[in-house]
Amino acid sequence: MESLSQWVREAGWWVRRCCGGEDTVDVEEKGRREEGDEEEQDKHEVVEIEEESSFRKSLTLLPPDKLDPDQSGSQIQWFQTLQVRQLRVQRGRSNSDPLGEKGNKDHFTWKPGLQFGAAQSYVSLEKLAEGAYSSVYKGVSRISGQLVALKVIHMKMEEGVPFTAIREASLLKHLKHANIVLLHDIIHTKESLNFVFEYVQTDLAQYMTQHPGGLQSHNIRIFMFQLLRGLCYIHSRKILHRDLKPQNLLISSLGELKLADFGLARSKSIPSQTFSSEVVTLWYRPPDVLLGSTDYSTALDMWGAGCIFIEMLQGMPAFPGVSDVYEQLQKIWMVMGIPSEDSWPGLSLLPNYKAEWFVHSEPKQFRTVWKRLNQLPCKTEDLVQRMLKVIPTHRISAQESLQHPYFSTLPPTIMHIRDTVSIFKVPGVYLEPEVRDIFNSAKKIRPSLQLAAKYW
Amino acid sequence: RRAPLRTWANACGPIDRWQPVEVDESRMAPVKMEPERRWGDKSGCIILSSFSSCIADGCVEEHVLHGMQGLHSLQALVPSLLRHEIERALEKLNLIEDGVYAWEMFLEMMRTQSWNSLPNADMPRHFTETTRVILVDWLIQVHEMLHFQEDTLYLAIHLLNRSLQLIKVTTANLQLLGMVCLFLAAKKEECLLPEVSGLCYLMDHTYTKHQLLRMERKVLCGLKFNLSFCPPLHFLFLLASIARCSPKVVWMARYLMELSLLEIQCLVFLPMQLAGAALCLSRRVLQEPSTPEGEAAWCLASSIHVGSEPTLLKIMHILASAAAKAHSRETCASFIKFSSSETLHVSRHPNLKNASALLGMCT
Repeated sequence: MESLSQWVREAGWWVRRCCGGEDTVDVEEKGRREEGDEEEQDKHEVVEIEEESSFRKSLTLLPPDKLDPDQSGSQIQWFQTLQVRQLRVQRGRSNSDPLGEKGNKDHFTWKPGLQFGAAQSYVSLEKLAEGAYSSVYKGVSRISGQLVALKVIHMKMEEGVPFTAIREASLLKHLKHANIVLLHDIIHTKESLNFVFEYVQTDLAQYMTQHPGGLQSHNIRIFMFQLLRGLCYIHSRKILHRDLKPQNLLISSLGELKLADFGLARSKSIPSQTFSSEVVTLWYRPPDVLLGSTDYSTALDMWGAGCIFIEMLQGMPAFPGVSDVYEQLQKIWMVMGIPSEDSWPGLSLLPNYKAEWFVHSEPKQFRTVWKRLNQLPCKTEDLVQRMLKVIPTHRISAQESLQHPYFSTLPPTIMHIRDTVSIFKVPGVYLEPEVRDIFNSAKKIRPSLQLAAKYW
Repeated sequence: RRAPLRTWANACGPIDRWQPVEVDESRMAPVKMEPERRWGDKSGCIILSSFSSCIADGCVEEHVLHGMQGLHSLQALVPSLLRHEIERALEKLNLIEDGVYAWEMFLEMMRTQSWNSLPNADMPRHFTETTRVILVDWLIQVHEMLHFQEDTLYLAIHLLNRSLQLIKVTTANLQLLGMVCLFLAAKKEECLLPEVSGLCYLMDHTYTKHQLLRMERKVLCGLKFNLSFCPPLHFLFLLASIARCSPKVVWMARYLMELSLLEIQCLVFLPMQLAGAALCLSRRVLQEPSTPEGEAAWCLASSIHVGSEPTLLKIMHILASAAAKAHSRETCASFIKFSSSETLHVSRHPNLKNASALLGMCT
């Protein structure tokens, strides 16, 4: 290894000679060395000896969960996966009042000279969340007066621009869809890197907290359709979300659902429990992944979508495991029944497979476990059943699920709108007021305003 | 006349309509085989040409039509076969559970491949072709030393080409730029990242860490954070899988693809064109005994539109002459890399020395 790196270095010298031209190289090198600060110079001699021996180590190990065990050189990575990034603080509960937005506008002078990409074009208002790599602020664009979400990426001296930020930006630049959060702008200043996202008032987790006991079945259909539509879009682009959960589904005041929190790890594994046990929730993770399968695909997101479906119906998480993988699996087996090598070939070969984890339990009917399904037409249960299949290959795909009879009550034109068009542009698609809102609203106001006004 | 078959396979201009797959099928319905214009490989097209002559012949057509319930189903026959093959190939390439999306992924690949090619091959004046070859060759060495994936190398060179056109870099900083591009590509693609100090060490500490990070930001700003890229090797593997190529043919094609990185003329070609040309040349160089199944598979693969025949021939000529002189050049990192036993010694294959002659013979 050492002789190889020596060889590469020598080649590097040759490159410089050739690139710089024969004559100029000495002068330029001199100039450059003078330019560099003295301290750095002194250090070099020491560093060099040290590095000679420790070059092997100079490949920084990412957190072990980012490592892909079967990453051989020739294997192709088909899926770019969306990395799980946990924010320590939940999304802020303060949501803007659409009427209040107008008030905000007056405070900031609207300058036509301001440009995208310039730091002074945005004013940050309040912190919404704080994460390991970034903080999220609510902000206002001084160009358009619109509210924005500013994600400030902390730069690290040791590694430069964080790789997650690079992946997120380059991926989101090409995702233009009504059900995916929009990246407006990237601001690069000396100290930090800011991503400017569209501001969306609330998220599904919050929405469900506001409306406990399950949502309106009509609204569930609309949310599910948008969720699956967004998933279909990213899946057909070889992208997995991997971290579907209500907190990551933003809901606008109109009822538009947007997939968010796209960190862009390419690695195939998802963070193990040990990595961030206090925040990572296992509730939306499919059994195959819980059992350690790394060969997962779009079926992974479909399980998460199914869990969210149930959660919207019931107002409770579908499989609220409390502590660990074992318990999470028990919750799933309680409903689904335990799989066997016969029903699921290759089951016992999964990395985390332990025979004692498979305590006998009978599969139950979904409608006996989740009572709300009793009140709804059986096509609802059918779709849930197709999404929540224990065996990943049997799960329905996002594309197929959009064709499911469950969605047949939506206007048929909804299937043919362009990617960037919101489904609320289709006549006849609207969000109905939730039960709680009907009781609460003495005055007649539009449900869309009401939603946000309540949070204010 | 009906639209040629070739145009269909990538009749995939932006589909921004929300539509079920079936719609695509009707779009591909107008089909006609043009055997003489496929990849410039006449040997591969026997079956299709006989098939198409059968359709072209009026009376036979009548007869066939009768049996096959209308022209439409006959026309759709080959595309659906091809489509099936593409889906199967994508599934085989680690996509088993996502068969539903295979076709969309293929369309997406065809659509996004233009990200990889540049509108022109103009480079700044001080960046001559020789300089570029030396720099790229060095990057190939560094890449190999750091045990990165092959996609990373292709992305790095792509970033280098683009940033040279977009930002101003002094001659003295060219090596730094090359290294930064490799570093950025690694950040996008790799699980293991090299340390910045390690990279500085590889450049003999000619540049400081600070300079490297400053250049990184300069490049990112210049490229507007757009590091999207459609890995050319995916196309190669896809084609090779459809054409049922032997491992040796694939290795040879990979070698030829890598040689194309050194050639400044290749910047303007689409990855699918490069992959198609590399695979085609590889088959000619190795001249493996042909089997009927192999020929049929090759024929099917070659019906995917990869480019006009002159373009492909041009690429093949460039690659052939590059391969012919690879061993005698000073910049021979790829040659050494592909001469190992794991790569089946492809770069040392005797036929490569007169590959151009081989081409000339056929055309």
